[in-house]
Amino acid sequence: MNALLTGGAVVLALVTSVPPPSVRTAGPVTSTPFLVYGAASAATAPDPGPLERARIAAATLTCTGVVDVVWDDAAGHHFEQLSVRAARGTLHVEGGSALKAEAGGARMVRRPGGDWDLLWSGIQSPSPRPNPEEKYELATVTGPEPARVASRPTDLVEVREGAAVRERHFLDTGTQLLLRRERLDTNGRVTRVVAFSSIDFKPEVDVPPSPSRVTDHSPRRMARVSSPATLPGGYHRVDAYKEKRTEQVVYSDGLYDLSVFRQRGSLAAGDLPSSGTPVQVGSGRGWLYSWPGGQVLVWRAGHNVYSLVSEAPVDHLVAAAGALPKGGSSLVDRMRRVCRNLLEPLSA
Amino acid sequence: MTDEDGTRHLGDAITALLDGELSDDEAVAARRHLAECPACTAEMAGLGQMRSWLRDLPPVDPPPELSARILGPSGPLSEILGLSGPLSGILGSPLPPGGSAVGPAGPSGPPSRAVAAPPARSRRWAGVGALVGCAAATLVVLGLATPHDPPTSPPVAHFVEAHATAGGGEPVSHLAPAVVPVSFRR
Repeated sequence: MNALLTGGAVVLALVTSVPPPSVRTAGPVTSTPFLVYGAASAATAPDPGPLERARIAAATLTCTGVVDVVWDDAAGHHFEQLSVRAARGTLHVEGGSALKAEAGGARMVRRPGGDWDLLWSGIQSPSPRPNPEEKYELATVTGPEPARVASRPTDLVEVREGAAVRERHFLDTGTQLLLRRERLDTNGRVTRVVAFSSIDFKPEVDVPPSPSRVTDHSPRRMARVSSPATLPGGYHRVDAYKEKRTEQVVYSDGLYDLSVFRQRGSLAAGDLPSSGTPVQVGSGRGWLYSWPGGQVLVWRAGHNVYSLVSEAPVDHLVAAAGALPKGGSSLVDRMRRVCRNLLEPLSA
Repeated sequence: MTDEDGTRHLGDAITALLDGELSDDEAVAARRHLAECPACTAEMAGLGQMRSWLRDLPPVDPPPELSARILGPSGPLSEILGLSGPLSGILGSPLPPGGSAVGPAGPSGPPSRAVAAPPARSRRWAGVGALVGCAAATLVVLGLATPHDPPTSPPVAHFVEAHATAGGGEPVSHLAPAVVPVSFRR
């Protein structure tokens, strides 16, 4: 059985999350018509940093382009090309099979059959993501010649954690849009790249209209969360959701998000996808999977089955995995599970 | 379990596998055996069919007088709580008002039974104590019993999708990987 990761488009509506113009800063300011932030406040406003500038640029620019996604894993080297359309906060990414886009603060995917699923309703996290500069050093690297991406000059920013360079960001000198993002392993080898191979800034871009019918699969926010507020490596809990019997707790260190999915039960390892690599998690065994954006780590801890999904380096995942509670060891937990097991058949 | 020609079979492990009681390694070994053993495969299919039939049995409604018999004035619950005619069910006749302790003793002969019943308040406390004791014993047994953890298979692809669309940060580099078609093969 194949479990298809995607089969459609992802649409973003980012307009509502764009900060007020006063935030725009000291970064390169040009006369491009796509930068809606003025230079008037540049002299006084604090610099939000290159990552935030890139996010703002993506939320406000109008352009079309081709994005290459390249990654390495145990199965070898992978390459995919996607087309991207951005128009005033709505982003349309299309790749693989036929894809489509939608706007309005939500994120949707079109399935191979043509149906649209709403995967994210656009609700904002109650807790802000940490400032990445509390953990990482964002160093602007200058050379004799600016590196060019998609034929445009860029500013190179290295994201460093201690002595290790975790990422390299190539920001368009004119607009501060992130044109190329490289992720490196602990040996300094580039393992993942998302990069524009061509980009065209236009005053107007046609984005496909909203689908007339969407099935809501967005998760519901949990009112009470028992997961740790922080995880090793400066990850802070920013939100938590529940879908059926699965809890998803989202952590962030400002640069990477880390989703912890928790299910009650024993791990049916025989039903897991066979493409996983066995890894050691604590005293038990887990399975590591690779996807174009990062890794998935699956393991059992006590009476919980955890799946940890993130773009972060593997060492971040392993450190986080070791800090998650096993659950179910106390008498109260056991009685709670017994009562749940007794009541579930009656409520079904 | 071993048959006449010395071939080993799963035996009770089939039931344990269906109940999700095997460890991960044991489950993998059992599934590997099932893939090669028609006898065990047939036995597992039969057990699965039987479970399916049991699950599909229609619910049986209790007789309408059942609740009245349990909760009624002469029912066992009322007797335990001492709410009415205690011991009447045992003695076969109601006791006199006030909970008299002596059975009927007519002039025509000796009393058929001489049972000393406790006062009403004591009986009521004894009933409550019995209930509390039963509840405590039940909780202890339930708490000490090893709960059954249902086997869980994480939907890896779905989790990746949920993570990628829920995240924040720079949108292009965050979302583009999520629309690359990837299959996690079983």
